[in-house]
This record gives sequence, structure tokens and C-alpha cells, in this order.
Amino acid sequence: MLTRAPLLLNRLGSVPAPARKLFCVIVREVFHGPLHPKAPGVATPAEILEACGLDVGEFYSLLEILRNEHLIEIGGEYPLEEIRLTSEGSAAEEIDEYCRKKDVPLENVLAGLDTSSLQ
Amino acid sequence: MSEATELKQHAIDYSQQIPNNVNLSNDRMLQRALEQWQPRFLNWWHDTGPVGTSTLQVYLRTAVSVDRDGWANFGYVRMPEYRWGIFLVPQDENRKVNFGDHKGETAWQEVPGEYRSILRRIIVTQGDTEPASVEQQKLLGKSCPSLYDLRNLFQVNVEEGRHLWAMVYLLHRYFGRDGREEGEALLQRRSGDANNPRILTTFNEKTANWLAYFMFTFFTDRDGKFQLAALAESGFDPLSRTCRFMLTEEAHHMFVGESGIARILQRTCEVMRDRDISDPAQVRAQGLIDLDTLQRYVNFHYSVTLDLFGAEISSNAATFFTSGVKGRYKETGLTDDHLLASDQYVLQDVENGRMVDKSVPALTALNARLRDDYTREIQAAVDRWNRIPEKFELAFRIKLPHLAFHRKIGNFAGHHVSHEGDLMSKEAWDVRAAEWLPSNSDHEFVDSLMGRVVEPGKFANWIAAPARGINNLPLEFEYVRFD
Repeated sequence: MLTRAPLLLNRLGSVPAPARKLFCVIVREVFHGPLHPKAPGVATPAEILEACGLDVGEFYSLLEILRNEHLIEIGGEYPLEEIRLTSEGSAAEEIDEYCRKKDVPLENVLAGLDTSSLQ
Repeated sequence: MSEATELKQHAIDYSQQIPNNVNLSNDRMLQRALEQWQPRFLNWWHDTGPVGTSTLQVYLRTAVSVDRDGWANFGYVRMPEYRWGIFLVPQDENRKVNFGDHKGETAWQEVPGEYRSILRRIIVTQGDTEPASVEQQKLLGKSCPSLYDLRNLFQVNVEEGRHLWAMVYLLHRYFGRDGREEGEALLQRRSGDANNPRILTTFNEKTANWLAYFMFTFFTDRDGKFQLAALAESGFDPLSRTCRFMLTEEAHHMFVGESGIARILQRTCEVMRDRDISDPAQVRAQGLIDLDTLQRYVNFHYSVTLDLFGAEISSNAATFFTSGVKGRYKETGLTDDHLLASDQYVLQDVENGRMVDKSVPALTALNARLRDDYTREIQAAVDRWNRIPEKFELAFRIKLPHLAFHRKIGNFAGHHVSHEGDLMSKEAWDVRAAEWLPSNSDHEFVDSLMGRVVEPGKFANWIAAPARGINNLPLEFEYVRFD
């Protein structure tokens, strides 16, 4: 049962679409990124940037939007930042698990805000 | 466009010999021609691709869709078995020509006869840079600073190969026999070959070491990005769609360059602070790249890349624009009339021994404008780099040299200008050149640091890891398998 998802999706509704798309990539890399060992709940720019088609400048601009919306926190300093989901943002984990179980693209929900598959 | 059609155009068909999303199987003659070119491409890769790598399994990204949001899968693959293919972003039937004399017309799905020659030249020149960089970098695997970096090198290499495919598809599909001949010639030219060199001078230089490689991917690949971005605006829609997807792949190449230099800076600044050393000789004695050497490499690579944008004043560039073939960077976001008939652009020149600002017709200054857009983006990245010495409380900052420094093409060719923009005599410049540009001994020193590191989790002394592991344990993901 998705208990925390509705609040997160509501919050994502006020975030511009490009930032939502980046958030989706971050969620995927936090839970499934290729660099190990890393602290739980962390994604790195190295993992994120190879998984999306964003320019570095665009990446940092969108990251700032997500930070201002309190969906992520950024620890460390350039070039070794560590991106973590906030407690609000970490609700994405249950959406990610649900999407994997039901074979629903995570982008449809987190970026496209399509909740029909979550019923 | 129906949703079903849109989805079909996004998805790439990997069941075919040549993966593609352009319905290649519907054009048997084209498919056959490209299937005949394919083994010659593989021969080229075998002959001039990364040396000694045909059996390595590399953790690579492969495009599965042209939707930027979910476009790649990752997995281990032997590079000769990489599925190079033809990927265009979906066609928008409502797309228009957005600039120039044909502004407002429906975007062209075939090559207009009057622009055939210039389009072919543009596509061939762009296409030629792709295999060139692979050839320039083919020996770097033997001195990689880590498996992580080795894998990134190979990722860039295979994608440059894919960009060659992108241009060759356009040549075959839209330029008939001439296009097929150009496709063959692209496989025959060789970087640095005295008899059959690559078209642009910079692409005939060797990439001798990893510092040069990171500088190349940061500075020179980025010229490629801006050229692609200008071509992504093209009224010739297949070229636009091709370039738009290439930009998705190119973005990570930019990151490889920027983060590579940042990690070198990080490592050097860290040790300088920890050991309280600042003299370049002391820094070098630690087996690190000193900051002054880094600055000289920046001066070189930035200045030679500026020449790739061509002369500031160019009637060719004006023709490309008015014909609707090549636009400005982010053309559709600009708020002018996209005609430039009476617009002016301010650029710098040398007159009577002085550096002056000149206002010229904007149509003639399109190369200068694209170069200035490029410099703005470069400067933003340099500003990010400079956070590193700042956080280590070091006074050093990387600074881009003046745009007139060390130039061989355009308004500043033939002039001798310091890194700060001071005009001087040739004699005075020659005396000081070693302060501003890498010397032979600089190259020898950097080369001396290059030793192969392929133990999982380990990084060469002169470069930081791309992230911290838990409790500073080494990162241990095996990006390249040697079995």
C-alpha cells in the first residue's frame, strides 16, 4: 500500500517538468546506481549524469530547483557532491518498489504524474 | 501524431542488423547499402579503435529509446559487438524552418537542390570529427588512471562511433552516390596521416595523455556540441532530428571532461593544503599535476578550440543562416526576428595596433556569436572549477586566456597577444610563450605520471575518485572486465 506517495506526488505537481524528470533519475540512482560502496540513500553526479541527457550546467540548475522544493539535500562540495532524498523525497522509494513490482515505468509516475497505474 | 506512432518513433528496433528507429527495413536499397558499409565500419574500428580492447567486457550504456528521460540500458558488452545504430528524435509534422529566408515554411524532409552542396559539406565536416577523436585517443587505454575512467573513455569512443553512423546515414539516405562515396571517404581518412588527414587541423593532433584527453572532451568536444546545437535548428529536418539525439549523448562527454579536470584539481589542491606546499616543483615532486601546468593546458586547449569556430566574419556562415541550414545556438528561444537583416553584433578586432570593439552586421558575425555562446558556457564551468581551490583556501584560480591569445584563424591571426590581451611583438611573445603554453618539458612531465591503474577501486595518485565511498573505502565497481 502506498501511504506516502500521494503527498510526494502532490509536491511534485508544483515542480517544473524538467526538474521532475531529473528527480526520477536521482531516485533511480539513489536506489540502483552502479557506484559501490556508497552510503544508503545517496546518488552522485557521476551516476546521475551518465543516466540522463542533461548538460552539466542544466543539471545544476535543476538540482537547485529540487533542493529549494525540499525534495533533495546536497552534501559535500563540487565535484564530490552527494545527493540525498529528504524525508519528503524518500517517499519515492515506495513508488519505485511499486513500479518495479507492477512493471510500470517510474517516469510515468514521478515525471508524468500519471497516478492511474497506482490505483 | 498518434500516440502509437509517437511510441514507435521513440523505440529503437534492435532486431535488425542495424538498430534503428527510421524504418530502415522499408527501404531495401538503403538498408543494403548501409549493411555493406557496416563491415567496413567494423574494420575501421578494429584498425583504429581503442588498442588491445576487442576482448574486454565494458559496462556500457546503449540507447534503447530516443526519449531523453529513459533512453539507455546498461550492461557488459565487448566493444566490437556494440550495437551501433541510427537514432533520430521523432518527427514533428508541424515543425517549421525557424530562421532565414525560408522562415515559416514547413521544415524540409528532403534536401533542397540549391542547398545540396553546402549541406553535404556540413555533414561531412561534422562526421569527420567523430572517427577522428577515436583515432586520436586509441592508445589512452594503456595509461588509464582507473577502471572508472577507462570505461568512460570507451563510452565516449563508442558513442563517437555512433555519431559517425548518424552522419553516414544522412549521406546515404539523402545524397545518393555522392553520399555513399563520402561515407567511404570518412572511413579512409586518418587522424595525423600526412597523405589522407582528417579535415580539421585540431583533429590531426595526438591526444598524448589523460590531461590532454580531459581537456579535449571539455573544450574541443564542446565546440562539437555547439555546432550540433546550431545544426539542430536546421530547416533540413532529418539533420535537425539527428543532431538533437546526438546532443543527448554528447552531454555526458562534456561531464567526462569537466569532472576529469575537477578531479585533478581536487587531488592537487588537497595535497597542497595537507602538506602546506605551493611551489610547482614541490607539487610535482608529489607526483601531482601542478596548477600552473594545468593553467597552461587550459590556455592551449581553449585557444586552439576557438579557432574551430572559424573566422569571426564569414559569408559562409551568413549563407548557412539565410538559407535555413544552420541556425544560432538556441535559435527558437531568441527574441529577435530570426532574419538579422539589419541587426548588428559587437566583436573585437585589432586596428592600428590596438584592440577595438567593432559593430558589424550580425549576419556576417554568426561564427563569432556561436563562439561567444561557447565561451559563456565554458566560463560557467571554470567558475565551478574555481570552487575547488577556494574551498582549500588557495589563492590560485583558473582563468581563461583572452580570446585573441594564440589564434591562427580570424581577426587575431598573425597578431601576438598575451594571455591577458596585450598586443606585443613576436619577439616579446616568443620570450614569454613558455609561461602561457605547455612546453615540451610540461608534456614530458605529465606523460611521466601516466601509468595504467586497473585494479578495481583504485585511482592514480594524480586524480581523485569521482565520489567518496563509505568511510572513504575505495569504490569497487568493476567497470571493465579483462576475462
